[in-house]
Amino acid sequence: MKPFSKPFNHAMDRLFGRLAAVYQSKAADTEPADSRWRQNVMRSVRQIGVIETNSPEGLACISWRLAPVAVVLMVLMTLWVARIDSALEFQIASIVVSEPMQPYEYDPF
Amino acid sequence: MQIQTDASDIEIIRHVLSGEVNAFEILIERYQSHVFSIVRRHVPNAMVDEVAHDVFVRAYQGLAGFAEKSGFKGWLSGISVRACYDFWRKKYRVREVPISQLTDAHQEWLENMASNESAAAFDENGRQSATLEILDWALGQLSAGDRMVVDLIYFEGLSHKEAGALMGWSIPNVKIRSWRAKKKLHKILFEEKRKNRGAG
Repeated sequence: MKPFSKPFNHAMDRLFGRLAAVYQSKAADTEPADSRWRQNVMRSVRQIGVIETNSPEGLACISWRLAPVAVVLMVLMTLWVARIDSALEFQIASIVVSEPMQPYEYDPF
Repeated sequence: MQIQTDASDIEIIRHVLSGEVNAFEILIERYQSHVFSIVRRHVPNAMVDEVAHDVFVRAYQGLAGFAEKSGFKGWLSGISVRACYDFWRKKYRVREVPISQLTDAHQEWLENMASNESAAAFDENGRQSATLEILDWALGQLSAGDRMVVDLIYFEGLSHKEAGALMGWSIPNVKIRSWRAKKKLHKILFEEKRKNRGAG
């Protein structure tokens, strides 16, 4: 990582110092929230209802989130298996073609 | 069962999780000023109420995942900062952040800042509003993530570790982002000044 040059640091420090002071004053300016705001939040909270802890719904949600990953994995594995399979078949075929079996070689007795 | 208003956070949370939804109001009352103080620093004044509302709704929804080992206040601070970050991400996505040009007053401010004039001279000259406009303008040019990093690291003075914990980012990620954001801000502020001077 390339370090900043001295003039860069100097100008930036001065600038950031000024901006930071204004930034802090911005936070102190506004008035606190009223009770109506709190009632609105509580209305939203009640609409959500009671929170279920360790619910089967949560488990179902995780399963649904994992479903696309599982599908992608299945497709990749299918392709991998198909590729290995065809490669093996190709290798067997090439061995058979290059070294055909002679009739006298096959004598089980 | 009625809960006392001076009960501990953990006690209140247990009541809420056991189905006593109204107990959550005690937490809102207790921490609303803390949440507002965070949100006010990061979003425009007109949007503070809405974002703070969102913070408490998110906190309620995530209450089951709250680890009792970590303090509720710190946990809520993280939710507040991330809600502000999401606010800016949404704003940038729909391109509601105005990309305006600097006025003569702003350029003069930057000229003075680049020179060796003291900070006190700016206050005497009543440049506070110009500074605020420059700040909004410059931050408006950054991405949502860079904006939050600049706010947290350079303007609030948090360490990389603290900022990372609030944003849910790793320390190296915060370090790199803050360095890049600072460089970008320099480019925005000082190169814009030079460009405008050249055009004039």
